Formats: sequence, structure tokens, C-alpha cells
Amino acid sequence: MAVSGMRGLSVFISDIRNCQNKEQERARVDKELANIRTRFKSERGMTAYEKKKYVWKMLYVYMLGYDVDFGHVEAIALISAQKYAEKQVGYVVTACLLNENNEFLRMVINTIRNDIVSRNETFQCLALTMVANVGGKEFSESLAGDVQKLLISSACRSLVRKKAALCLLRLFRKNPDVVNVEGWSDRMSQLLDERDLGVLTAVMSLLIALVAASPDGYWNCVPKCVRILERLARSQDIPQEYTYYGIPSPWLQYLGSADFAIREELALKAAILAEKFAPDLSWYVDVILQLIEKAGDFVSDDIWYRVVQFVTNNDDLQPYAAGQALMYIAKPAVHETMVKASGYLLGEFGHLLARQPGCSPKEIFGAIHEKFSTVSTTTKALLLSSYVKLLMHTTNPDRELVEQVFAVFRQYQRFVDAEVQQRAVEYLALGRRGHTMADILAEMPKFPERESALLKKAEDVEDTADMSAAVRLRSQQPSTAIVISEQRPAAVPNGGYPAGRQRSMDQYELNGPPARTTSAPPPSTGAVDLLDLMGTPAIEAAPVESTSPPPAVAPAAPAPVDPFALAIYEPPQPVQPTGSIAEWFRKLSVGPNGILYEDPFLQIGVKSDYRAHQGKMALFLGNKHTGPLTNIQLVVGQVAGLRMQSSPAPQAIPPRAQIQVPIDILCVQPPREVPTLDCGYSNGQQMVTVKLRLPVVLGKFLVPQQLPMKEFLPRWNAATGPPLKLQEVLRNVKPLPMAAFEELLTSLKIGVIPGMDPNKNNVVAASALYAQSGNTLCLIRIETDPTDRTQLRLTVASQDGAATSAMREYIVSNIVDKAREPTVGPSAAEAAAAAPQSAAGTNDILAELAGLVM
Amino acid sequence: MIKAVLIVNNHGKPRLTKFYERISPEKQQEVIRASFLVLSQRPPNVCGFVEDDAVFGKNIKIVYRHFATLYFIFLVDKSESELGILDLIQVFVGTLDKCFENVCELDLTFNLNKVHTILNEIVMGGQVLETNSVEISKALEDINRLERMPEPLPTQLKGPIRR
Repeated sequence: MAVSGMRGLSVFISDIRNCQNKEQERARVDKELANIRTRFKSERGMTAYEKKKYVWKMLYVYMLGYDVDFGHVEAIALISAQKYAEKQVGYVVTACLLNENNEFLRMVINTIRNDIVSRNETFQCLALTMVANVGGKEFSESLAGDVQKLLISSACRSLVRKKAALCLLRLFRKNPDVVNVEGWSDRMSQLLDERDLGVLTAVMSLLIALVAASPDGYWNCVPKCVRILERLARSQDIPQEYTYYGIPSPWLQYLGSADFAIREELALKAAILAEKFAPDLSWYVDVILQLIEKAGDFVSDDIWYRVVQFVTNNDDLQPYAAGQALMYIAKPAVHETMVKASGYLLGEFGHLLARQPGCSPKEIFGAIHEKFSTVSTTTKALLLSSYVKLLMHTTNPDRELVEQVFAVFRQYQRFVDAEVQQRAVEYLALGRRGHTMADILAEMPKFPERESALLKKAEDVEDTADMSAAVRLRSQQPSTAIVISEQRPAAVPNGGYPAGRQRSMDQYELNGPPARTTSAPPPSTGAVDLLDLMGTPAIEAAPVESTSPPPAVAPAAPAPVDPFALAIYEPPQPVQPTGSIAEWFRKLSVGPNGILYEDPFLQIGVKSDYRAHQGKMALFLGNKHTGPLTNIQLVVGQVAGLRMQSSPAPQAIPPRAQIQVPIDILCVQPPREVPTLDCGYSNGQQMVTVKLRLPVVLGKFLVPQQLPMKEFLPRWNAATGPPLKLQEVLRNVKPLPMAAFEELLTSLKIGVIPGMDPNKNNVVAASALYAQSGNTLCLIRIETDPTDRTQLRLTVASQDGAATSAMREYIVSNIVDKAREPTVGPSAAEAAAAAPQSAAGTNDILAELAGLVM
Repeated sequence: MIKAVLIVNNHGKPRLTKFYERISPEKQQEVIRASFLVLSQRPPNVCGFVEDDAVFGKNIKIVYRHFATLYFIFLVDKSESELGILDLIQVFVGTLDKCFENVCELDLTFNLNKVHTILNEIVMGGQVLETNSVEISKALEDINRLERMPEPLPTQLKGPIRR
């Protein structure tokens, strides 16, 4: 991102942002407007840069709702400028401020036309954009011809031509006479041969408007439109960037025939939407079944499992769902997913339909079995379960039906797939025993409430994207569907049957939905069921505790539902960082991005960007843990001179997720210390707190400067002594060779000026310090002792005492080796105060003069 | 047709306003206020489309998305597809994100010119101009190059330096 480059504008916007109320804002705006007015009127004239700046200010003020009519002329005048940057401002601002009836626009029509017919593409684009945005009869009369020429010109790049198409559309809407149907329809037809989809989309918008106005005039375009549709929809001849969830260019009036192109993602999202906003559950079932019918290829198993789960848990819904399932499966060509969903629903609830005409178990069996030969073995296995259930749920099954079903079982007793074979053999045996075995094949018990597997899946998909904290929080909202079913207490129907038998049934259905969706024990069987553990390898959803929104206060011990938890519970070890906090801080002090802190649970990364006295920092808090981190606390300590504004951090970070906390930084005055960051979180076992330092060091507001000697010396001499010029001798300095020492200074954003000091053991440097209170040029001279690299003499000078002293501390803290510093004795600051300033100062200047003469 | 594109922060402060139809500045402010009022009262888990004949008149629908501190609001007429506009918002935000690297409200506030320039490459005269983020980025790069040309990067101090 380039800096806006206009300091005055930034300052003005900052001022407005700092206003506490509307009155203050109005006062500030009025002051600025008065200023702008005076400047515009002044005889002296303005530089192009100033004009640009003031016109942007006007747009900003206009956006806030203030009247800036007086400045319209100035904005328009910029259109005639020759420099791109000014012209651009003129065009953009004019398009925002003025409407088509503004008489000033007439003044620049010629300029606009010149830009449109010019060979300069960027000027053409600017002009077209403005004309399209403003519109107007006057424009359309004088410019439409030129715009048409641009549109059909083969010499223009597609960027220009698509803008020309939309521009013409706008002019046509204002004044339909600008387009002459006879001559233009052939042109339109030629334009449809365009291969660039951007141009084609724009041309299509134009065509739609033209056709709407004169339906008969453009018949010659029809065959080409059909060909384009075919190309896009059937051949999928379309760049990836133009697809919306796999549907080519929704801008081309959403192609009805594109249904088959819906991808799994869209299906999943549709299913979630349906679940979230379902007015009632039968509607939900309808929608999902329709979805399966239309886009079966892309409906993952999770989606229909969810339907099964709802239907099972809602008694009222069961007959309806069974009826719908029968209707769909009876259709001639049915997608396999539909066969699975319908087959399962009919197996479970088909008997509820028995009283309705055409829904006898025999007829249901017939409908399902018609599809049996066409489906995969997995589905066949599922259907076998449906058959036996259909049979057993009927009190007095038709003899013929029994024979038919048994015939199927017998046929598959020797089937090559072991699963199908096993089911066939066992169901045959069960069936022969007759109704005594009905309990085993009773309806499935209700599912325990849990997070929607679909939502979870969607979250997994979204995890890959870097989401802002707000979006993440929202995605955790429980679905309304769950709430609905929660109101019905889950109970095992038919008074409950022995849990062991129930489990054994589950085992038979390894590949069907029951095995996957009933992996958690039903509510009536509280104890841990070993069969359950063995029989259900495919547990599809993580335990609810880890994904549901965490409680406000995390429990000290793991959730009480786990009976083994107490046995293995031990006091947690203190959490240690995985590296050196000081080293991370040091790296961040000299670079924009990096790690601030990391431990086994949490990682805090920093990205920052500084412009002059302003900075933006983003803290990236990543949860490395498999459970949520709760009670997140982030407190930024305030230090004098810096204004730090951070957005509140969310309460919790979901597992494996990352949240972002932006911090705005403003350097009001040269700061003398570094802000702290108190960070705390709970990992479910313990509360971890850590005190960190934010790498907002003085260097972030420094810009190295290179000054020639003749500019350096007068400034150096102008600062005569404390507090403007500070000098001291430092000991216990990290011993570094001269080159490394200069490198260190450069990394601290202090610009070493080579060759300024003739003594190669001395360094002269300069850096500009940016603060809201003013920018200060700081001059630095360091004289090292070649015989003892651990000591040196530092002199800092500037025209601002605060800047001098902040700079001094910054340098001292970075070059003095803390480890070597004696713990007792005068601190560096005291040493500075004690140093004989005046005498040293004189010597210094003499030494310098001597250097200069040489 | 797209009637207006607005970016408004959580406090109702406009960060970008762009109207493609002729209405008076007073009416513009009214629309901004009304849109914000309606949207700020909507819970986060409802869909991003609103129609309110009383506030916006017949035929107008709002399509919006809420990102962190900002509402991205498109006022469109009935001829536009809601999902299409949602995708357009995504393209818009995605492009902003690319240009500003992790865009935040401050970026938009201080770089109004950039935001207008970006929007001009996506929507033109109330019509969708381009949805291909690659094309949009290409156009913006060209513009960036041009903008930078006359003003070389400051190597010397600029502005009032106390010397």
C-alpha cells in the first residue's frame, strides 16, 4: 500500500476522528472549509499538490454530510490538469460531488472528449468512468458517438472497451436516441464474438438494456447469445475467477440450466442455510430432499445423515418424511444419495404410512427394490437393513412380501462383498425367527443432541481462511434447528429395550448411517458401553465439549462427564514459553513482523506497519491447543507520549483457530519507554498470565537521514548543551567491530553518514523522529575507543529536549550490554547528568572543526 | 442496477459513500443513516438481504456484509441478484485486502482516494464492471504505477521539520 502521500489530509482526518462529539466535528470542519475557501480564493495560486489535497479534503467533508458546493469548480478544474494524479482526483471527486445537471460540467465537456479520443488509455478510463457515473443528457449528446467508437475499436485494450460498453449503457438510459438500432444491431452482434469475459459481461448488460427498449431490433444477436450460454454452461469454458461457487458468471442472469454445476460446497451451504432458517422442520426435509434430487452428486453423506437425525428425533415429522421419501424414490431416475436417504427413511418409518393408499409395505418394497440393482454395494447393504426393518415393523406381513424379501436375502448370501453377504445371512436368520426378533429391529433411538455436523464441517472449511474475530464468533451460533429439537426431551421410544441388543444391531450396520450417527450412547444407557467403542470406528463428530461455545469461567478440572477424569487428574505444570521472549522482542524491534510470544497453547504473532508518527499493529493470537482457550485477557499498558488503541479481544479462541486484535498507535511525543502487554488465558486446566513488552520502540518512528556536511554542522552547533545536546561516556558496551557497530545503528533506523568524521573510529549519524507534536531531526555522534571496545562517548543533539533525551535512551538501551552492567553504581542516566557537559561540548566542536578543515 | 455503495462503521460513520443515481446530498445522508439504523439492529445470524419499502422505497433492496468494524452496503434494484451482489462485495473486500494487506477501517479512512479508485474498477455507473479479481488487481497496479511516477518516494525529510 502506498502512503496516501498527503500529510495535511491525514492530519485533518485524524483530527476529525479525535472529535468527541458532533459539535467539535462541525467546528473542525468549518475551520477547514474556511481555510480551503481562503486558499481557493487567494491570488497567490496553489501548487498542484495543494489543490489535490484540498479537493480530497472536500470529498471527505462531503461524505460526512457537509456542504461543499463552493469547491465544485476547483474539483472540475483538476480534470484539465495534465498530470495523471491531479486529473484522477478531478475525475473521481467530480463524479462523487456533482450531478448531471451541474452547469459547471459543461465547461469541461471538451476536455473530457479530448481524453476519450486521446491515445492515453488511463485518461480514457478516467473519463469513461466519470461519464458513466454522472450520466446526463448533455454528456450523452456530445460524447455517445466517441464512446461507441471506443467500444468497437479493435485497437483498444479490453479494459477500455468494457468501460466504454457500460458508459454507453448509462448514456443510452439517459437518452435512448444516442443509439440508432439499424446501424448498431450489427455492431452488437459483432461484439458478442468477444472472448474476453469482462468485456462480454459489460456488452451483455448493454444488450439487455437495448433489447428491453426495442425488442425486435436485435434478433440477429440471438444465435450468438445462445452459443455463449452453451459455451459457459455446458462446456464450462470459463476462467476460474468468473465463477461463483462453480456457477459461471451469475451476472449473466443466473443460468437455470447450470444446476448441475453446483458444487458440494454450495450444497453444504444451502443445507446449513436451510437448517438455520427453517420455518418448520417439514420445510427443512423438503428442501434437503429437493437439494439431493437436484444436486445429488454434491450432497455429502453428512447432509442426509442430518435429515435422518431430525426425522428420528421428531415423531410428528416421521410420517411426512416417509411419504416424501417414497415420492422421490418412486421417480424414474433417482440419484444414489436419494436412494440412500429415502431407503433409510422408509425402512425406519415406512410402516407409518401403511394406512395410506399406495403405501403398503409391499408397494414400498417394490419402489425401493426397483433401484436395488443400480446402486453400489454400500447402498445395497443399507437397503438390506431397510428391507428387514420394513418386514419386521409390519405386524402381519403379506406372505408375498416375506417371500420377496427372503428371496433377496438368499440371493445375496453368497455375494462377493462381505458386508452385504453378512447382512443377508443374518437378516435371513432373524427373519425366520419371526416376530420375536422385532425388538432388535425396532426404530432407532433418538439421537443425543449435538452440534450440527454440517456446521462443524463448514467451520472446518472456513478454518483454512484467516477470519476476523467477529466472523469467527458468529460462526459458532447454534442453529435454530438444534434449539427446536432440544425442546423435545429425548427419550427412547417404546419404553426402551436392552442396551446390549441395541448395540449389536448397530454393529451390523457399519456402513449405514446408524453406525455413524449413534456413536454416542443413547441417553438411557448412561454407562460406557464397550460394544459401542468396538463397534463404531467411524465417530464423525468430536465431543461436544470441545466445539461448543466455551463457558464463561473455565472449570479447573476437565468436564465431569468423563468418569476417568478424576483418576488421571494431576496439577498442571506451569506453562513455559517455547523460546526467548527477549530475543523475539529484539527481532520485532527491528522488523515489522514476527513472533512476540509462544507457548504450547498460544502463539502471539505481530504484524505492524508504521507511517511517520502513526502505526498499525495486529496481534495474531493462535490457539495451538485442541481445546478452546478461554478468558482471554489482553491489556495494553499506556506510556507517556504514545496513544495506543486496541479493539477488545474476544473472550475465547476456538481450537486451532487464530484471531486478530488490531492496535492503532499514535506517537504524540517521543516516548521514553515501551508499552507493556498483559496477556492471560485459561487452557481449561489453569490460568496462564504473562507480561510482555510490545515492540513499539522509538525506532518505529525514526527515518534515517543523509545530510551533507554543510547542513549538518550548523545544526550540530545550534544545540549548545543540555537539554538539547546530551553527551556522556558509556561503559559496558557490547564490543563490536566498527562495521558491525554501524550495521547495528542502521538496524535501529539511525542513518550513519559515511565519511563525515575523518576519524574512522567515530560515527556520525542522523535520523528524523516523527511525532504528532512535531518532527525533529536528531544528530548523533559516537566516538569509540579502538583500545577498549566496551566504552564509547555518545553525543545526541536536536532542537527538542524531549527528542534528544528519548533518542539518547533509545541508543543506550540498545548498545549497552545489560549483562555486563554492574548492578550497583550510578545508572547510565545519572552518569550523563554528572558528566561535565560544557567542557566536553567545547572540545567536541573544536575536534569537529579540525576534522572539517581536513 | 446498483444505486449506491456505502461503507459505514459500527458507529454509523460513513467511510465511503458512492451514489450512482442523482439524489440530493441531504437525501444521501438520510439514506446512509437509515441503512445503518436498519442494519445495526439486525442480529448477526440473519441473512444479508433487507427490503424495507418504507425506508428505501419500492424496488430497492439492501445487500450487505458485516466485517469486523465495517458494514459493506450495496443498495440495488430488483434486477440484481442478491447472491451476485454478495459475491461482488466479496470481490470488493478481497481487492481492498490485497491492496492494503489485511485491510482495516483505518486504511479506508485515510486512503479514501484508493478506495474510490478500487471501487471504480469494480462498479461503474451502477453496473458491474469486473468481477475477476485478477483483472481488477492488474488495472489497479497500472494506476499505482502512474500515481507514483510524478512523485518519487521521499528520501529527504518532508513537511515542517524543526531544524
